[in-house]
Amino acid sequence: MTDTILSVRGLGKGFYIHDRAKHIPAAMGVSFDLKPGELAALVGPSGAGKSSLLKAIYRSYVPTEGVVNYTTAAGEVVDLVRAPETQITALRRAEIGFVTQFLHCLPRLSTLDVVARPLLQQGIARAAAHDRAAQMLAALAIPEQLWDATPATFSGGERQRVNIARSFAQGGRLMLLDEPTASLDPASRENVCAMIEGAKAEGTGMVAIFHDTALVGRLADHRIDVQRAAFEEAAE
Amino acid sequence: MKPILDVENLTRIHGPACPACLDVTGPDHDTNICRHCGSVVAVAGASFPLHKGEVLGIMGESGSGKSSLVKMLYFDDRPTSGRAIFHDEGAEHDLFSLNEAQQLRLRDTRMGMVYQNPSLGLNFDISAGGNIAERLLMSDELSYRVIREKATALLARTEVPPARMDELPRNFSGGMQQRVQIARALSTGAPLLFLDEVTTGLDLSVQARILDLIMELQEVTGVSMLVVTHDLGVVRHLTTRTIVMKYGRIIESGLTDQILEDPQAAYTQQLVSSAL
Repeated sequence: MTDTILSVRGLGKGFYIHDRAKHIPAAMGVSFDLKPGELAALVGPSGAGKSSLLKAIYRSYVPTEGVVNYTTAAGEVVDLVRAPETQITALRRAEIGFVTQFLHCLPRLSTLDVVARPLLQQGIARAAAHDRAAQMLAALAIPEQLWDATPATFSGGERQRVNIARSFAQGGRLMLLDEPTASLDPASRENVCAMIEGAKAEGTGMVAIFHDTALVGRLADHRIDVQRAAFEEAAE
Repeated sequence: MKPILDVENLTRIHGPACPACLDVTGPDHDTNICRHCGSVVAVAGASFPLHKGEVLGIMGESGSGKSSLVKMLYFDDRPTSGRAIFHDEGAEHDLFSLNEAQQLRLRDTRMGMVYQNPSLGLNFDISAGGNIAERLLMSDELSYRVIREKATALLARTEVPPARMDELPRNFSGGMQQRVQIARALSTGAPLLFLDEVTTGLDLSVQARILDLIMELQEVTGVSMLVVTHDLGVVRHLTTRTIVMKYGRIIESGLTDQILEDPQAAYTQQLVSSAL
């Protein structure tokens, strides 16, 4: 148990929409454990609440029920559901990353700066941060001529790769991936898979959603059926 | 992370104030005017910490009390009741129990404010450089050469052309006036900065550059900031945590992405869904 990085128990999320006085359940009672270097894939039909669970772990959503025990680099076990906001902020900066399908960034930054920014925020020197950013962009086959331009002008697939480059440049002990290969061509998808495998080999634990089931078979150590998990939990 | 500022139960009532004021106002009553005595409850029972190096957003529509809150902390207004403790590098300042001279001293050297209206934060009758010199003089910097050098460096950092240093800020564009205000606020290296609707009323492109500048300066200096705004874009780009106010009350607070993506209070849900 000591080398478990993430232990999720009965995590659930629902929304209350005041406007319509209505409760909307999004995901129910999911449980799983994750060790360093492992990837847990959340599997289920569209609308099963996979993204909601990922956001609940990251605390972009307020979880409705459950426990998410995360073991920090310092060896402390923190329940991400109940941790104070400042602790979540610190963990996001240093240990926990989130890769979305969409890149939100200020349109005035160059691609290289977008990728290097989280590293600068971690206090890494400018030159080193830019080196690492360049390395990631090259690994994802973003043409060097584009590094000076802002990603706001890029195609969907290019933006997604910039987003992935940024997240993997920052690295972390736990990464949450929401359809990281959704709008990529086969070659780019291969590059991203290689990057995920590389991070796993370095000990990064991951929770991921893939729209491509072949990737689940290839990359996942655990398959978490989001709908069925709720029933299993109830039976225990 | 340690707080740099602890605000406890801060309340400001304009008018005679009666014992019922707080009970008959607020979001539940859909008003901030006391029906018994006619007083306006601008802020009621506001409590929150601001952590070191944190950028905290205060969001709400006009009249929600967000500016009133910051004005009290910068001594532009006095609270009716409540406390605020400023933990300033070892020193503990109980802000509202200080005498006026002590308050002015703190405000001139250890805090900075950038107002929506540059005429409040700048002296329009002296040059841009003079505006910065004024604040440096108040913090006991007396060498003309040092003041001139510092002012030049600060204006360069906020992208005001040094050639215009000796001009009056009243001749500047709105965006450039904001840059001078930011340079002035930063001039003494204060660890605590208040920004009150700093991009409101500026062209979109100018807004974006001012936001970039603030973000960059925050990353370099690590200054703690309280950012008052009704603009969700400003909140999203600048802040890590956000407080939502309505009728003088804090109705919700949380991580900024959580407030924007999964707002809990009815009012916040309305606010976020109407703007996106």
